[in-house]
Amino acid sequence: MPSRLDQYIPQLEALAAAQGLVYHPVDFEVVPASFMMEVAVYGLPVRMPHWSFGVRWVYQMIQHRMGHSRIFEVVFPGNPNHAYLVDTNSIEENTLVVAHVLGHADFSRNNMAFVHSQEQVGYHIVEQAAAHAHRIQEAIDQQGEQRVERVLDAALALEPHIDTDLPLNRGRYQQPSRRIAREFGEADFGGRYARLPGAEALPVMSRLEPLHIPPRPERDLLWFIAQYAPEMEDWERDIFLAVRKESWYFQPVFNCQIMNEGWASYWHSRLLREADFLPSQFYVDCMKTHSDVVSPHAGDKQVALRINPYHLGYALGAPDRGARIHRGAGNHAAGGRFRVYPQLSDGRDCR
Amino acid sequence: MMSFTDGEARNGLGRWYDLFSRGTRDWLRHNAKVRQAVRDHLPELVAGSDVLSNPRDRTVKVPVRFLEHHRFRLRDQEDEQGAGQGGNVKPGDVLRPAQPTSGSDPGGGEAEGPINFVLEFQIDDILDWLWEELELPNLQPRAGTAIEEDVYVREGWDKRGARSRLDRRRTLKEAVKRRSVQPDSRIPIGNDDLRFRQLARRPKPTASAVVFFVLDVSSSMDEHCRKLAKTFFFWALQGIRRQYTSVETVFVAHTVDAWEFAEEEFFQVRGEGGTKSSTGFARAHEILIERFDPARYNCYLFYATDGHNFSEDRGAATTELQRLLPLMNFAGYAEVSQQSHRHMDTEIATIWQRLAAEDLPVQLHAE
Repeated sequence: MPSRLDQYIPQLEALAAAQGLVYHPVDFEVVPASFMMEVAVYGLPVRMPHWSFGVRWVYQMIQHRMGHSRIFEVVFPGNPNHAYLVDTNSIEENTLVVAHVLGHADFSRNNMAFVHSQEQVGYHIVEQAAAHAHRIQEAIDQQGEQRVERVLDAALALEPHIDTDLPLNRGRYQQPSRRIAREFGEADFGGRYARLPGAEALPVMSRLEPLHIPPRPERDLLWFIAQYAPEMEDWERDIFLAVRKESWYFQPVFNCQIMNEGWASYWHSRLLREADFLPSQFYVDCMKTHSDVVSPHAGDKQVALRINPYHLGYALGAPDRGARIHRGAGNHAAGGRFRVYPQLSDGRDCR
Repeated sequence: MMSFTDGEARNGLGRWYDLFSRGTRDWLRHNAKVRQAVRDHLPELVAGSDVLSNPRDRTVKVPVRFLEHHRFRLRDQEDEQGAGQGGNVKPGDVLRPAQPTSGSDPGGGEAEGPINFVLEFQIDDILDWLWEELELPNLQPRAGTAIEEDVYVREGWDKRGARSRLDRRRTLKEAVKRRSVQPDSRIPIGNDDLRFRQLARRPKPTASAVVFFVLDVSSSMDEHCRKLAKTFFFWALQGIRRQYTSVETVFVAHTVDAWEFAEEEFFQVRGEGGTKSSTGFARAHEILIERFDPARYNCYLFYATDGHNFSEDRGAATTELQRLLPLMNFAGYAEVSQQSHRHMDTEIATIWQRLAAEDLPVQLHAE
């Protein structure tokens, strides 16, 4: 890590703490661009092998080689947060990125969706995803690539279909009453007796209905399949649950992207503005990068083909309003800051 | 495949992230899947129009469906209406046919649409993949028929030679060397310094081949048989093409008479009436003598038929083949038929079997 950046990081962190940002510690690491590209595509430093990542990776690589896309940073929220900086970026860019990452760290510590997800998934998704990848590799060794790939194709196709309103570790559906369970349980005598030929002659049996699976519409398809699919082997269920867990981790990342980037962009501009230890030319260079990042247009194109979350989030959280509300809130809690996003009151961009 | 720009990584033992490149690995896996798709489409590909004559710069288009990973997503709230979760659904009900109705139904369920990438491949690339997978033994030319012609190749240098073959660079080097050991020499370039390129005469196996494809187009050969024959010819030709730099093809079709065709017409030809295979062999022999010097060409013959032949033609066919086959490096007989009897007991198969027993370079195969 370049020595100047080494100096600036503690100074910026002190500044952030003085401004009232609250976050889990952040580990910064400077990595090569090629590694960064992989991380950006896979979403996690170590993740299960799947050909669809390869497609995205090549696409990203082409974009990168053609100069259409630049990756500045990747942060993995957790405790500690892991942040990666690219070694080909200039010191000014990386200083901006450090301030940006501190904004992200504050957001992920205080945002409801992130807090909820991290409470459920834990603070070590990076390590867990590596363990998943290891287990899937073992499955490939034992079952063969074709079979594992079929399961992964299916599980990843259902990736967004989880239910974060229910706990991560859910039990199976409860029988509505113990009596029915006792009388109609699969293996019980009562159940077998009820299915005997001529059982319909017993009026008391016909009144009771067996439990419908699922008893109500189920949003968490990955869980449902892993729990109730009739003909699956254990390693297949394990893959579904691994995909589900990573999807839990990703859900706030995707759902809060605009706010998260807006918040981080607001804070990087603010922290750098107040960082009097930076030389003034250095500050100007940082701000040039900032204006590129929050530009509504990509590169030199004059049309915005898609939303730039940095721009939208930054504009929504507009520096003036953000600052005023921040000061008004004094000791800022997550709820106070998000009043600038009245339409997003539950702390998500969308559902 | 990947280049790391991190200087630290190169000096030391390397960082942990140098140890793998998942992107490359998964990309290669994707490519393997594309190959598989191409291979699944191969029958259509080979059965397409004239792929035999000159596939060097030809490309084929192969639809690939799984370049994009399918993902299920929820419909938008607005058009969520009557999704069929009402009371009168039974297990097994089809909520919506899977076939996407193009254009007319902009429902959320097909918002992604079926992704049909059409990839264009060089035929040769595909063949290279397949050839690796088939792992066929290399075609061995018949012993003793290795045709050789002399070529001159450059070989070494000598102090004497024709002026035109003077190697100036070498000569100067020699002069420099000599003057460095004789510092008081006043001759810039002496006669001993001269170096001439030498030529040597080397026998070289000829690299050209001619392939005769003889096809029975009598009325008993139906579309299925033709397709099989075409596939057989295709692979036979590919094998030969790998061994020789230039391969010429001759297409001969026969019923009771035989004609030569261009490739594009060859598989469209439909004859009437019976079969006299002797005419096909006679025509091939004629063309061979006329246009291709058997001493300079490696000759191959492939014959595809359903096996039926007029019995009175037996003698003539045997004679023609006995005349033709000794000129060939290899001759292949493929029997294609609708029924899957693979007994090789047909009229023509018997003739070929007899010839194979006579130690002619012949192989038989039934499809």
